[in-house]
Amino acid sequence: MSHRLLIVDDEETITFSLYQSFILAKKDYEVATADSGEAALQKMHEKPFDLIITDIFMPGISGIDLLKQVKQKYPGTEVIVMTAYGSNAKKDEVEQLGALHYVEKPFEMMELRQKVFEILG
Amino acid sequence: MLLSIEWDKQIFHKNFLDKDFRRKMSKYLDDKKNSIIRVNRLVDDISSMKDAREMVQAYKVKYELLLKKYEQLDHVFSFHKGIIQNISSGIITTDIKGVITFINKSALALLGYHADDIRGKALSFLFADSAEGIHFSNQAVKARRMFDSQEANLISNDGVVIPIGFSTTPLESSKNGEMEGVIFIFRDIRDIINFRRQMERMDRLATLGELSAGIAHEIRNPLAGIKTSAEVLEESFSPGDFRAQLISRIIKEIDRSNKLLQRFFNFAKPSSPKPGFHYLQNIIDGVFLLMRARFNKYRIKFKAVYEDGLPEIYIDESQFEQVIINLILNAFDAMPDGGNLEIKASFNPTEKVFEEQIAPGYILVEVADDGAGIPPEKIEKIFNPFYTTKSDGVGLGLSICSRLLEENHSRVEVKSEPEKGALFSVYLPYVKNINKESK
Repeated sequence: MSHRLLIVDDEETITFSLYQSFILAKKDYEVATADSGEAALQKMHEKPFDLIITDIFMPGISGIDLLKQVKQKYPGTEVIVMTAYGSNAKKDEVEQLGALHYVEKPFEMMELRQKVFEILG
Repeated sequence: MLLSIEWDKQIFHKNFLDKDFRRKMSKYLDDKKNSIIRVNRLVDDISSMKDAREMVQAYKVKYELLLKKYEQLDHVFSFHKGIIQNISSGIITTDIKGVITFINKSALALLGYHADDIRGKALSFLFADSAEGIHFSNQAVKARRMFDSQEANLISNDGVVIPIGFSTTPLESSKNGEMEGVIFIFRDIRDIINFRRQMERMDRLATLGELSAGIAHEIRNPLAGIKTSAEVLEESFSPGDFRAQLISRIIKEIDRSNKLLQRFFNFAKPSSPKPGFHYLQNIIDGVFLLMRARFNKYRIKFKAVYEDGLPEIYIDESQFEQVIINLILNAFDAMPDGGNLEIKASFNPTEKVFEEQIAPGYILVEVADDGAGIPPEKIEKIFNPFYTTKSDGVGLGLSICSRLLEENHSRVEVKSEPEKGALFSVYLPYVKNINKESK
């Protein structure tokens, strides 16, 4: 069974380019995107994902709230958090909430992909 | 022989107190004592006074009383004079035309004049803007307006503009209560103005910090989108393809923009300092090791002098390193043809860096170069963000210095003249290392 990866960001360029990046990686992942926390929860409700990459600051449910809910409802799902804020202010918080990585935008796509490979294989 | 002496009463009274007269008279009487048969008026007169000695005594008492009164008055006078002269406020009085009649010691010291230079001059003469001076002087003297906590600029004998806060009071005659002039009382408010400026700056920076967090988000998101898209695109071409090369340039430029943003955010919202006790020598040595190659390259001689028994400094080590590095880089730029850079550290145990500092004392770190120096019109701006004199600079180096020091409750000042180098003085508040003492 192929691994399922969900990319969540209200910035469409980010979700689209990351989606393309993982398609290009030819890893046989099932990659999906969501433009909000609400949409992400809806998709998870339909079928859980193995890994979620989410932005923090989004209208509606924030990435941090999403992280909390995911960890509560789907303990097996791993989470990587991205942020465009220029500081490590939220790093400790999201790691305490169980996120595996904290990535600052703009990131190195190769590095992010490497992290995903390590988690999903 | 019969001798009769008739003394005129008035002459006698007039001259009786004269010692010489008394001596002469007594000698005369003595000489003639054998011939005296009768003394008429003289005896009469003297006997009408109880005793001549008593009279002298009475005058003496009066005289001493007078002397005492005078001393008391003199004491009151010098007491008041002492207050007027030694009070830290400047006090000037004028006559009804606004001409200076008196100026106290504090005012003279602040303005760098002698009393003789000033007395007789118009009050407005002391103002940096004479039109403003004339206005205030007219208002106070002619319109009898009383100023309170008014601000203005005076100008000293050597041309330094001194901001002051002043108040004016009519000087009224003690006899008839008529206005004789004006009392002009003022204080040097340079410290207050500096403090106010600092507060305004902090305020602006706080706003800037909040603003920058929002801007960061708005700029980094598109940057991230562009970068990831470019990376995906780059991957889809073979590395030798010119399109892949173009895309790698896009990525490089994005990284460059992001780095500049990062520097700006560091300035606008530095991470909160994590202070600890450190030996200044160790930090400076570390920085020097890091930069030794550049010292050699720019042919700059380095010297560090530490006062004996210098206490440890309490500061965020990496932020302080950044301050020293920026000050050194700034000095390098001022000495393109080589020169000398000296770091001097000393301890002042009595003064404070900021008002609320718990215990007094500061460590002064001075970074001096003998380079091009800073012209006076630029010196006020060098700590402003994005102010630069270099064609390739962004103007954040020194502003980051001052920002980081502010975050660490410290302060930086600069003194410089063109062609005479620059001296940056960093004031670090002294904090007692209790752990060390108890060990």
